[in-house]
Amino acid sequence: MESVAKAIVIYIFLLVILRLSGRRTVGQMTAFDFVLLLIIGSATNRALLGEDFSLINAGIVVCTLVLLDIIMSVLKREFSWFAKIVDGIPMILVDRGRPLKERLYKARVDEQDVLVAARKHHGLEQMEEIKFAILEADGHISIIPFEHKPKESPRRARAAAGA
Amino acid sequence: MSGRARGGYPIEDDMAFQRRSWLVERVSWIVLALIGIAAVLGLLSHGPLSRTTVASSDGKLSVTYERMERREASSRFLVQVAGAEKDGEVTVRFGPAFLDSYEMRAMTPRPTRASGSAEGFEGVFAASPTGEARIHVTGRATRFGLAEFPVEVPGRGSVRVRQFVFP
Repeated sequence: MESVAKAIVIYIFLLVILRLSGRRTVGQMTAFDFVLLLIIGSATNRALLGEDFSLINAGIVVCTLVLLDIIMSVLKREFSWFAKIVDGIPMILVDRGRPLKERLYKARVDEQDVLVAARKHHGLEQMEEIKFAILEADGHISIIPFEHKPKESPRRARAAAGA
Repeated sequence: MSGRARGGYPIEDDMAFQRRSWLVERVSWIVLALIGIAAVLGLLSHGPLSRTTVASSDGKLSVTYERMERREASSRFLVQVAGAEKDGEVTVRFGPAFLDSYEMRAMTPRPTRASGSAEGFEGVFAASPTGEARIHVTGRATRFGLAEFPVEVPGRGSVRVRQFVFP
């Protein structure tokens, strides 16, 4: 009973705290963020298992966590407002070459991050070449260039424009 | 997001919702900072605001401990008895609620005799030549909530220890 309660509390706690820390945490994960996650993992480890290192206890905790994850995904599918709260929503950062400063500031993303994404996926050099930059709910920055490069297949271009 | 949003935008963003989530985010930062401050001050145990001493009316018996403790963490109680008979023995009795809430981990010095009864756990310790005894008792809180038990030295008074145990 206790293991189940602990797993539920830790799951909800981590869900809330990771959501509140902002999506940058997951999207643009640096080496340090990775280390931080490891530390969070081991800090919660003892609280989850206590001094009971039995197979049964580990099994109970794992089953509970996986079940919670399944419940979450079902809830997200059924209720869009719930998905919105848990995952966040995408947001436009650059509108036809014009960076939206306030949004960038509030989302703790800077123009450099947008340009990095533009270079990486589309080989773009300047802000003016970006039609839209979107901060996705998962923390990644999607770039839609003004004119699609010829090397792109029509299908990819369609996907990029319609995503 | 399904379908194309208006105005040629690839997505329809909900800035009202976004602003609300930013606000919640900012408030949560304050809460995180407050938790940090509370932890430093000892409101979550192990800090200046947590440490306390209760003494019997004549001051001959006192217990120093943490007002707040955490479950499954070691909790130390320092029992000080003054005015014991020289080279005599001091009996310290922990009320029965002690063993309900804590698992005894260590006692320094070790009692020369120990016994348990319906009245609680009793340890007999040798007093120092100056006639005082300082006994460290380490217990591990096994359940959360308010733990309350009397510590008694027969003939020298009794104090009530109240400790809140966080889950």
